[in-house]
Amino acid sequence: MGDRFGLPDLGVGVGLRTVHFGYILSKEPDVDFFEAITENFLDTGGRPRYILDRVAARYPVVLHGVSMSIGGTDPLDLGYLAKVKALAARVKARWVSDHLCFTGVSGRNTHDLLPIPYTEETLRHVAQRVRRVSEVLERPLVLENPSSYLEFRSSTMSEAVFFARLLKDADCGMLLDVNNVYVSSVNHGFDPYAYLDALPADRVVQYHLAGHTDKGTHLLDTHSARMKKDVWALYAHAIARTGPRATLYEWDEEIPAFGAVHREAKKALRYRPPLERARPVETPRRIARG
Amino acid sequence: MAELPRLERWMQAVIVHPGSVAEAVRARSATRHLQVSDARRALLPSRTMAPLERLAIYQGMYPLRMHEALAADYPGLAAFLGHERFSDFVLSYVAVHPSRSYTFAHLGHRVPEFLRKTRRFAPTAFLADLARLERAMTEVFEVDEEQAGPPPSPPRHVATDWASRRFAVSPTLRLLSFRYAVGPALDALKSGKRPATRPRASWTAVHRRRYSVYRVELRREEFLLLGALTKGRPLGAALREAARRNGKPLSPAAVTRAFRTFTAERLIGEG
Ligand SMILES: [Fe+2]
Repeated sequence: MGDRFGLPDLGVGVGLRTVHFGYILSKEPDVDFFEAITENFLDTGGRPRYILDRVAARYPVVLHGVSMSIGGTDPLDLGYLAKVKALAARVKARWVSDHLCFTGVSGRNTHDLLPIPYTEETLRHVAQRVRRVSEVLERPLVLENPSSYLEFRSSTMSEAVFFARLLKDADCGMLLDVNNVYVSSVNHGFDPYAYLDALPADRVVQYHLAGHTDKGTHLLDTHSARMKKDVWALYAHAIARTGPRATLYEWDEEIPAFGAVHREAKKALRYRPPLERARPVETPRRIARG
Repeated sequence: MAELPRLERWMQAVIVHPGSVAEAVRARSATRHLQVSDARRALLPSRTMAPLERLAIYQGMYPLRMHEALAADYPGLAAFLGHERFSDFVLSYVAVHPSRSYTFAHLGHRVPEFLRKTRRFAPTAFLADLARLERAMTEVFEVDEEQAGPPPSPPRHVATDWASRRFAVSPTLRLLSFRYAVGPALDALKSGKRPATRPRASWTAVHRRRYSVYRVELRREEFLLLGALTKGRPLGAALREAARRNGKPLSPAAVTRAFRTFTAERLIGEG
């Protein structure tokens, strides 16, 4: 499989959030792309889907799920996947992502991104599910590294090594959340730069940027406030390895005005070039006169 | 594949347990999958936290997420109960009706029924009515407007043969009758006031137009007439049905007022 499946660099985007719906529709801000939380648009024919349709008609959109439970041990929910596929087709999603985690078992959904042990057994299990999902969706799945707050004693490899092997074994892409790498590195005491260097650069399809909260005993991935300086440094390191990739800013708590979120996102342009857009063709010098 | 399912079931059992994390790992729901001694060994400590303290981070976030999701669908109920009682309500509700869906959209489906059955949250009948109204508003918010069809265009004023005229009803319309005045109660709660909770029958229409949800308080005769029109009855037959259910004919003034409400609120239109 070629360089990140030929998926394009979409530039610098912002997570699509309800509080900004009105602003986005009326002002049509100059944003490179939007990311929508898949599940918020699945079982609704109301205003959210109407908004997403309008946004998708104007901007490139990617879908980001939180309930696939790719690391789960219940059977894959094929009804859910069919709906994701239909939504992706409807909004012409450039790609579909979710998280390396499980969200529940025995038919339940905790609606959290719960960690899994990094073992050979888990790797085989997850790789097989990723391949199945890619078949059903008829596109490569893109998986994000979530923040985590605990580690299993039974893990036999680091998360970075697990991810690197999964990306190859299951032939999928990665959504690299640098803030999550940072949060987990502090919580578990590993070197975040070594984590980044262990990943195959050509598999990184997208970046996430966000702020976190220091709880004293641990860092919490709150998506509140601005991204910390140390995390920007990580992003700089990562993007130097991979080259420019779609970069998206997530802000989910105490969300400020759209302009403030967009400004924060555009700080990424200090570390990556702006998206090259097709330039208008040169105006012809000679104009035919009748 | 034996270890992973066991670990996941154990972790979920601990996370959704309403007690402390120490109680959760000792609960039968957790020890079915992992003994207490094995549980402590299953996780690594961090520099600052013991294994179970780390697990408690996830356990602490679960009720907060459920609280947030249910409060979004039931803002009136949440305001009436106040933070602590609503949290208590959320925990007891999700213990019986946990999320089984990829979306939060279905989590609150059974709140009205749950309130009626448990009777733990008073005044029960009032709260169940309030929840039924809020549920209807959420459902109307989610209706697929493409499938439901467009809202009717305003009725033309044609004097001829009024009795055989049929009207189109807003395709997203939900008609609800209550033992309590929960519509005004919801308004009061939204403006931070204490609502009246004495029984007082009320009738409400909920519908959506251009992706906005509207709630219209109706009089009883309006409710009966609109109900008959919703069944596709021509106006003459609808008036007879409404009169029968009303116990007496609707006065001309009441009918005029009803039509003014229906057309102003775009509840009915050209059939
Ligand atoms: Fe993220």
